[in-house]
Amino acid sequence: MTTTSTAAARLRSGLRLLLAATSACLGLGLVMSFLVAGPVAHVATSMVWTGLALLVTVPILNVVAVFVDEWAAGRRAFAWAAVGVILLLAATTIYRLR
Amino acid sequence: MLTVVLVMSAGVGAGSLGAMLGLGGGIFLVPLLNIALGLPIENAMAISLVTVIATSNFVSLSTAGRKWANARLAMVLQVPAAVGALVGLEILAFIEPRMREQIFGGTALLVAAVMIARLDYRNVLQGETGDVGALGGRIEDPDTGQEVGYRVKRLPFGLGVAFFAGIISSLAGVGGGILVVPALNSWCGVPMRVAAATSAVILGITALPGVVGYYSLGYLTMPLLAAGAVLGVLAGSRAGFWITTRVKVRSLKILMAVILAGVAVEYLYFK
Repeated sequence: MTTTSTAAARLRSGLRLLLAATSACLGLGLVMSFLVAGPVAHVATSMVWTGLALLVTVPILNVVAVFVDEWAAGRRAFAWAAVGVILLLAATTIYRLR
Repeated sequence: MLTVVLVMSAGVGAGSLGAMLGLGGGIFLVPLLNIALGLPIENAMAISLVTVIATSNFVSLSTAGRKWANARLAMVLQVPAAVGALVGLEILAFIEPRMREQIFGGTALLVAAVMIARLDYRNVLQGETGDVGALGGRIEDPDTGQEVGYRVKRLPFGLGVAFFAGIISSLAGVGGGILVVPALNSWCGVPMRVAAATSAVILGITALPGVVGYYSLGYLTMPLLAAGAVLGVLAGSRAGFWITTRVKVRSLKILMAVILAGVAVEYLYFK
């Protein structure tokens, strides 16, 4: 629905890979957790947590891609809205995890 | 293992409806995890919010999702939604759970009635000459096979609903799409499929502060169940998009109204 800049298109390709990596981490971690026991089980849990952490970074990076798109298209108001969202999310994360 | 498989299956259903109707799926997952599987409500909400992000990621990045979602409108609505989510986290402790449920149930019932009342209303401008404005867009309408445009109307109302959806997201552990989609479609002039995809994109950002908040409070403690739900949702989202282009908008609206009415009854009478 909107024109996409080359940089944003590359970023989105990277995000699709990240989403695939997320699914791989979650799937592998889940299968491993059923099959292995002992110290190796920690690896399975770590993989699942890694997958979940990757999952929550995707929306943030997607907003960055929108910022790149809108900035490249000269639509500054929408680009600044993207910056506003990123700042709000950063503030929330810092506030909640401090 | 059986529990994970069960949660994964529920995730498939939630993901399908999420992609089809722009709902995060939390509205179905939270009762299932809480009532059917006996998880504490906070843990159920935390897992639900993670799956909302999964649906949003899929819609934002898939070719089908990007075709329908209005990225500019989503970005504008994400600002009040993110602020609302923050406000929701702050007031979580001050509102009685029963009152939260009643507000949510009452709103869902009202919105269902509006959706039914405007069942045959189409938010499209026929032909290619109509001005769609800064936030509008053009889509190929699967119902008619023609390119149509739409203009976003009553933006302040949409911003207010996005803010309220953010609050609801944090308070109830749902995405808030149950408010955003009907508002965009019935009041703001956005076609149903665009409203659904745009809502799904917004929900990822709306749910993010909630996930961080629930994690910091120690409620995201069941990673295997969360992983199962996310994998189910990702598979279901793909199915949802396949279905959405094959059914009439009218059917999507009826399905949405039925779900809203069901949710209203659940929150007003059974919780």
